[in-house]
Amino acid sequence: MDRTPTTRFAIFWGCTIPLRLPWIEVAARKVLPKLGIEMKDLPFSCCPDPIASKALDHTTWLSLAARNLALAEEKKYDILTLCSGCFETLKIAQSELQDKAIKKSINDILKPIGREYQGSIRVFHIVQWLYEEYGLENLRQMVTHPLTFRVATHTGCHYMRPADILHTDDPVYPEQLDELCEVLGLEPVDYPDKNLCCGVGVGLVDRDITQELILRKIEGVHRAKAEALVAHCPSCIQTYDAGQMMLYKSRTASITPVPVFHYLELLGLAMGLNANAFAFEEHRIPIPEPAVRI
Amino acid sequence: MSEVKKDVTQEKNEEVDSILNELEALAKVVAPCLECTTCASACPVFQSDSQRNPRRLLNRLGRREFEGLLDEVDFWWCGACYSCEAHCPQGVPLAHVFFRLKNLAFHTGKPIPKLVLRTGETLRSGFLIPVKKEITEKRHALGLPDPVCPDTKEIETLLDATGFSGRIIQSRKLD
Repeated sequence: MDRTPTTRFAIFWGCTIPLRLPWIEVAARKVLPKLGIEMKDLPFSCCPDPIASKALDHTTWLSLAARNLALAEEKKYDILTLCSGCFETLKIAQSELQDKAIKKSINDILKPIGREYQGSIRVFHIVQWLYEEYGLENLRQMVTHPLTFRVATHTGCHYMRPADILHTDDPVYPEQLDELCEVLGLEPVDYPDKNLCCGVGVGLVDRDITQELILRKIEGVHRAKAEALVAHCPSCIQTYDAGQMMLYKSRTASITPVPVFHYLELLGLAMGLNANAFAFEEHRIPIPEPAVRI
Repeated sequence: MSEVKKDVTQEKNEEVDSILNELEALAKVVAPCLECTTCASACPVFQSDSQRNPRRLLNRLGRREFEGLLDEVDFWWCGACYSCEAHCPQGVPLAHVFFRLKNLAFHTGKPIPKLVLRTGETLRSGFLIPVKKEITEKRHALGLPDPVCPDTKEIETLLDATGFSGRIIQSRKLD
């Protein structure tokens, strides 16, 4: 079956990628057009985030999400996001706004800013798009420079849960990221705590727990003798990249840091893009040269 | 004067009723819980700190022990990873329930964890991370365009319309 994937998107960058980890945006702007994606920037706000903002006032959270969705609807774009938190917020918002009474009350709030939520567009996550729309076989054909090292994948909670709304990977045993890595020639390993939460959410109230979760995760990666961690959620990446460095520098715990890749960096390298096309120097944990040598 | 007092008391009573109604509704949501402890086993926070037990909080709600429930801080330890929900054999939406408790705590003027409150304050700018000159320069150095920002007037209008801005100010006073 040949199906033409949706390729015209408003890109929902969120807050963390453009303002904290712009090296992910560098990779996306290099790689996505090569897959035929037409990228449009729109004046979206924070999604708003599905942990702290959602914990305060639900109506406010839903109104801001509805405004973002309405913005893309007005321009007739589907949304493609690289952030799992944004994905979760926008998908949950769409689900809640299916209720006519809720939709009406939110549209009453949007009225003074001249916007209206219709429910007319689709929201994709980049991993979901690669896996379901673009497809593993098409991706395989793009690989000219297979990568050959062992990686530990980390899917992250907000890409797959709550499963009854997000409908992506298995919420307990996710496999899509492993398959996407295999296509590039990489060897994804099974490892203890593969599905462990990065701990960014609880970090709002208890940073010690986040640190403990980071240590558990990295210990598992070492035990499986993986050379790198592969993730795609900007919050998870920040937690592991900057978090490992903080632990390492503070010497509060014994840790041998593991480099953290965004999946799109590895995809780009496997597609033959030169390492200089990316901003590997922006990673907190240095990327070892052999991993990125073409 | 006495009329004003009466109005305030009446308003207060209505607020208490509405909180009790909401807690009662949540108690019904958690009713299918079998106390099997699967949620706690699946919770990464509980695995690190056994004092933070999602089941205990859930059961307190299920037993309708509403007194002081919103002063209980444990629900703030829920990092919304939804691992409990994915594992619960009865399909109890635990993370959803904890979100409702957090919302109620915010609405009733309970102290809010500092970083959560700061998120609420920052939301007014449109993003959770301020758009500073340094990051714009960094983006340019990496060959990226200026970040595309929302019209903050639109965001402020929405935050004012929902009463969010006023509540944030109240919470900040408590902080």
